[in-house]
Amino acid sequence: MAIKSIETRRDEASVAGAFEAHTNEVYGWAYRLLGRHHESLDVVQDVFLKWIGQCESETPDHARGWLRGVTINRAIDVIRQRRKINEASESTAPMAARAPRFAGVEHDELRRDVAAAMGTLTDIQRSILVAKVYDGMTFAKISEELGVAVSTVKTHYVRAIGRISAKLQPQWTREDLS
Amino acid sequence: MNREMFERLLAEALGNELSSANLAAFEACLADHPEWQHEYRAAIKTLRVLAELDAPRQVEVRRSGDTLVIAPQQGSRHPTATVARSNPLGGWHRYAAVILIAFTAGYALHGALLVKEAARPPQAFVAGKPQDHTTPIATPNRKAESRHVESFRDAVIHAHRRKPSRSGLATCLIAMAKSH
Repeated sequence: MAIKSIETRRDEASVAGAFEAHTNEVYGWAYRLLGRHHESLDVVQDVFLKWIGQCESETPDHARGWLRGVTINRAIDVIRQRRKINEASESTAPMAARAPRFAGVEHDELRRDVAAAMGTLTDIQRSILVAKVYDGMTFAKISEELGVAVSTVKTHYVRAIGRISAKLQPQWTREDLS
Repeated sequence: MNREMFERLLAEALGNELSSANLAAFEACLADHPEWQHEYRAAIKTLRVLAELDAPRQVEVRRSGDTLVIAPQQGSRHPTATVARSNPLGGWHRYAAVILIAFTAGYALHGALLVKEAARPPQAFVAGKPQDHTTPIATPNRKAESRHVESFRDAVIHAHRRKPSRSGLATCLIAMAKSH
């Protein structure tokens, strides 16, 4: 029976430990964007496979921040793939003929719009936005996790919201903004 | 106030970290710059939209030999539920309770039907022919009674047939109905 080195055992412990410690969060980040349980589980699997690959070279200092960024990127990729499949199969209708988006919009459409908007953000903007909106972290905590100044975090946060607003606003009615 | 300072205050306002000391400055800033007011309202709307995305249910990680298995946390229905069920047996208690309720309801229904049967008017005798208690007598009251009983029983059965989630109760009641 092969005797594993201390280094190997420690690495295995960090991979399994990260999985057990952060699976819920990874799943949550994926589900927010995807809205589908099994797709979210697929993303969890993909993310931790990447984590294993990452740990073979260099384990990130802040596992949570790294996992968040990779999860969001992977979820956006899944939505883009899903969108391509849907567009290939459904009939095209002129944009003008569609009903106003936020008057009873389906959540799948909403997710697609949000994911498309988040796709225009930088990685750090995405991470900060999700950390603030969904994880409820303070700017100070985010700053500590990502290793950037608090003022930078705030700037990225405002810019991220501004870019998403710009993408979503054309579909809003005047009442939406009152 | 310059744009940089406004963005800092805006971030704090949107992130619920605006101190009371800075609140007055932020409001004054908005009052002086209508275009920033629009930006603030749009940002609030955006955050509301982001919050509309369904929150995930909790999942738990279990070890199964050498495998780590992800599964929905038992009893987790509400997104904010984070406390795992203290009863490790979880679901089987629920099913046991459903079966118990089904049998109890079935017996209660059976009992109610017996009471209705007992409350029937006395059977009419046909001269020269002793009546068999198992043979229904076609008196208007008896017919109406039996029709009423059967329709009540059928109504209960059909009501539960329409709801597959209560198939355990429906099966019990159907079985009870067939035994009469």
